[in-house]
Amino acid sequence: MSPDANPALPAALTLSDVERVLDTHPTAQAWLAAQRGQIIQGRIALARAYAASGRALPNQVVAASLQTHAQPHWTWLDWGRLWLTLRALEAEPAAGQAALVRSVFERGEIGEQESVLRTLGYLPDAARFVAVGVEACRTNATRVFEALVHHNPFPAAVFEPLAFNQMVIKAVFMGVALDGVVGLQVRHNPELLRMAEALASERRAAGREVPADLLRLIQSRTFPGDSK
Amino acid sequence: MKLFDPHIHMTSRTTDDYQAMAAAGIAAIVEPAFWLGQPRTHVGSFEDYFLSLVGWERFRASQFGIRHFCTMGLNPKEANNPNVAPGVMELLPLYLEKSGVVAVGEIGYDDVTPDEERYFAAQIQLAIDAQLPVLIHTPHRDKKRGTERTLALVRESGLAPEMTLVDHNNEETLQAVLDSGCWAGHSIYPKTKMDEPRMVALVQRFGSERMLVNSAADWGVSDPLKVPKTAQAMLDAGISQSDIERICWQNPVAFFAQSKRFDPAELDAELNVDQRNLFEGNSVLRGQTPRTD
Repeated sequence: MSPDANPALPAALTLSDVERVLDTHPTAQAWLAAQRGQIIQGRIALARAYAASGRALPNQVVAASLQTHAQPHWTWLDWGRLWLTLRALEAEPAAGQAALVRSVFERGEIGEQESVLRTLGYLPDAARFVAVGVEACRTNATRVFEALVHHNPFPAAVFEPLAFNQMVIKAVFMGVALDGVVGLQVRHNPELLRMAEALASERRAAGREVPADLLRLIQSRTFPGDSK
Repeated sequence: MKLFDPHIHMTSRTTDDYQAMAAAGIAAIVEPAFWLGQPRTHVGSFEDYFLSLVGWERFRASQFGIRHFCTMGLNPKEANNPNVAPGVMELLPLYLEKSGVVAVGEIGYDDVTPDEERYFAAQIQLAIDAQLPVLIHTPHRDKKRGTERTLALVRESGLAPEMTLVDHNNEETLQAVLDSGCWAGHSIYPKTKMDEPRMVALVQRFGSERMLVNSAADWGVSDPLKVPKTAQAMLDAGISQSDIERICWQNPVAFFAQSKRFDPAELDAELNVDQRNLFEGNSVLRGQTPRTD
């Protein structure tokens, strides 16, 4: 399947979009006012603010009615961290922006990594951050993996087939449910089918159970564009 | 019977494990260089890890009478990180020279990316140049295909099959690995990957030639006593004592002795334990009476 036929990334969120959400909560609003007085520029400033926000913003899900664009499972903390990233990107020359986002991921503790991954697809020209997503797939921390894999438009929109396929197989390995994977049907391909069949064969040869998700992957044999 | 665990990550294990391993008859181990469970962000992190493999970890093992060897290499996962991979390759020619380094490893494929292949091939060449054997990690995902590509790469590179240990085999990969003339390792886990009954079945089918077992015990759910437990399971199943000795001692000794970094005869002697010895002022003891053999 050509990259043009991948599901599209969502529209990028702007600082105004994010502020509109944060302003509806008194604690978030106060935090935002304080942040506006700070200079969020460069890796260290962004990393410190990202970390400190974990103690300042509620890690509770924002009501769906307040979010017009993003995912309904985002927390106030995710929105606040998205704001920090957008601010830091504004202050960063274009050539350094991909490395900036990668560094906040690499230096993140688990909760910070979750925020980076959930919001990644909503950054401006998000496709250029694909390396962060691919690197995140190497995690064995289930929460971090789920932040990338569940209800997240990013992988299906920008991952190459190899990375996408490995992500799906890894989800099966980690017991992470496939029905949360956005764009799985659209991105399903013969190579992923082969990998799923090989894994099922391996499990049977070992006398081990074949996961139901794996069987579903194998059974959905029609690929996008097949009937055309 | 003396036992050898040729693939165990002692960095993540406690002295309780060393004590249990020693009591169960494990006399020698190989700790391969690998990743630490989450990505390293600096080349210096690799260097300090390499130093611990030939320093503190070797000392810890010696305090329990266990001879500790290690491998050095850039693991498949972190070969994908352009911020560290080239720097690690620069460190390897030095660290491969260290005492007790018995192979290049763990190298191989993880996702089977072009970067992984590039560093895999480059490290095979390092091994050929240094005349060291190679310990190869086969991927856990898409394993059969990854193993086929591994064997093809080994063939293309000119690395001798007898200098090649392909690890983490299962029912679907073992035949091809044995047919290629390489050695075949098996990692025995509590639930996943490979267990004792399945290992017994493989030995009954394929024999003991070029077969090894290990625990690959690390920071995850794993058991550093899997080599003695597998030896016991084989005994219970009626596999001959000589086959068991071959798998659990002679094969790993013979494979790693090809490095010429130790004398196999020396491994047969007991390692005297003197827990009064310190490493850089540090002891493994915390108030116990030192054991002196």
